[in-house]
Amino acid sequence: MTERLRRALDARPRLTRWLLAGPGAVAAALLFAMAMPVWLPKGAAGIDNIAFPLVLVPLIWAVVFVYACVEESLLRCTAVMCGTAAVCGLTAAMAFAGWI
Amino acid sequence: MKSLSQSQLKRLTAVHGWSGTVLGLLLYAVVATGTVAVFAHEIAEWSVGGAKNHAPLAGGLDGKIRPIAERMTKGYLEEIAVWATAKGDLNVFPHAHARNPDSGKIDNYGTLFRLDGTTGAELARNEGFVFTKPEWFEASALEDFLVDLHVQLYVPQPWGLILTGILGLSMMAAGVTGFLMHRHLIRDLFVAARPGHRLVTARDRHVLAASWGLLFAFLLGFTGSFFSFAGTVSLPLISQVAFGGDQKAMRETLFEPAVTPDPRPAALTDLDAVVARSTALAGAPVRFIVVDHYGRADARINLWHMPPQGSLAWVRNVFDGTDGRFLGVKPRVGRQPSAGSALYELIWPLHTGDFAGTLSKAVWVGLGTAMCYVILSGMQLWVRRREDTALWRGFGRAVTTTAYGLPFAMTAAAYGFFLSLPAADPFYWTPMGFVLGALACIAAGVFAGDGDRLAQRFRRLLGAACVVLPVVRMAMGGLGWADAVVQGQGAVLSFDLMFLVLGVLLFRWATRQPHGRAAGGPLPEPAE
Repeated sequence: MTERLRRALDARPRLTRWLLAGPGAVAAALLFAMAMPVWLPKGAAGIDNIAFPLVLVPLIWAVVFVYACVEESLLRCTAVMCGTAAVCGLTAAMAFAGWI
Repeated sequence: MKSLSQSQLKRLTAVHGWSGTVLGLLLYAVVATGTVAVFAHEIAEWSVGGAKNHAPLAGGLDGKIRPIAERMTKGYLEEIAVWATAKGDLNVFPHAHARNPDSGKIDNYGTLFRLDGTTGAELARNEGFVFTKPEWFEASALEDFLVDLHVQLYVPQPWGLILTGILGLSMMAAGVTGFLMHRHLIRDLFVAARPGHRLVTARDRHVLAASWGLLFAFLLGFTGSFFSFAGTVSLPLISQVAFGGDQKAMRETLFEPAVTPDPRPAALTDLDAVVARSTALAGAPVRFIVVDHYGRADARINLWHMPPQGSLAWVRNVFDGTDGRFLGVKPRVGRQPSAGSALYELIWPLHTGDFAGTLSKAVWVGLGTAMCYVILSGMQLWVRRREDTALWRGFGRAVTTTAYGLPFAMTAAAYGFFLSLPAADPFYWTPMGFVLGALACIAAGVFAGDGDRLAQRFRRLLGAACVVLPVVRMAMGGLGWADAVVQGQGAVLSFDLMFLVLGVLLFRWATRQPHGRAAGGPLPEPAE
């Protein structure tokens, strides 16, 4: 299955790269920022876990965007970004639902 | 750092080049207008003929505000905001919060009093959703227009903010990709551009300016996109997770000081004494005051001070409204100092350069101008490598037209402002002046020659506009130079002189012989 996915991604490398660096990077950055309040320490005033992701969203996007441009293996890039987005999305959803 | 492969370099070059080309003209507009907006307050002072009172918040406030508050209906005493205009008048705004039927959002609703900053005489009074009407609270339509042009390119909310946010992200991306592409960054900071007018010279200049401005470009792109997206995208999403969507809990935790409600009647303490004490504590002048719950036992007086010497962040002091007790410094975010709040407080001064007076602003203007050069030279490099194609030659004309047309249109906005002052609405004619100036430049770009001849004509046009502007300002009733000297209106004199000097320099530049290369001709040497 991995090989099939690799072939599918490598069949359209430009489109894949555009999707990863475009909407993929935006979605991954926002999901990562949404999950940060769960695991970041709250700090002295109890708000660091909100203030840091709020301020750092553009920087997080820049890191993800550059990674999507520089990573040679489209399969690895897809796996890393989708995996990160999935974990962060799940974390954020659980926090919103009050489970964590 | 591990060196990049050919394919990685090729991708980064494509991202750097294409993002710069597709978004470059808009990015130049944001950076150029931002460079001008650094001195927005001073532009406002210049445009209105100086401030009658340079420190209307320094003292004598109690006697001006208390009579207004005492006759206000209790509903409008939820907050009383006080601030000065560029003319040195006082805006006093008792208000509550209500849903604006036009936007559907909660807005400030109340009565705005404009008072003479020295005598306290009432100059104007308006009631409604005040902040939707800039003509009620802004002294200068020119300042209002130039700032709005930078913040959202005069595109309606929220699309304008999203657009400028995307441009901020693209500036960061261009900076990072440029940095990664550049193999010898440290060395090339200190190597002059190769002489002549070849393509490599243009590339060297672009690289040199971009290298020195790299950190600034990244910082401004980052902070700018924060401002654009924080309120529209980031905060709503993050608060969903952190507060389960409870916006009230979010506001109280992040932004509002803890107050136990106590509606018992109680007189407000001496406001002047509070201002004096707060100024002494902060070590900097006060710029904005909000009195919460005037006339109640839970009244609070909040004072915002400019950054004290040695600090970047503004200071907010909070006092008890009944006995004037100092309750502490309220951080920008949260209820006590923290690392998160310290980070948040850096964003505004780092973006605007507004932390050390005229000196820091001047540095930011210099760096912003350098960024404009980087953006324009990058697009010109792109065009020079593709000049055998009509499409890219046309784009080259668009770059030249925009490079000169935008400053000309902003100057035309100033003409629209001054010419409309005697008998028309400056809040209409200022943006209209910009539009007319832009259309004139577009027409010139289409019909008036090409290449170096076009650039020379634009320089003459812009130079003439700059030289004549102070004359028009004074002819329309603006403060003369003699009076400006007597009254100490430094902003008026400084900007008039700046326009005259700029105009002369542009004329001199326009008379310089262009280099021998014909516009549109293919280059004999390779690009690298």
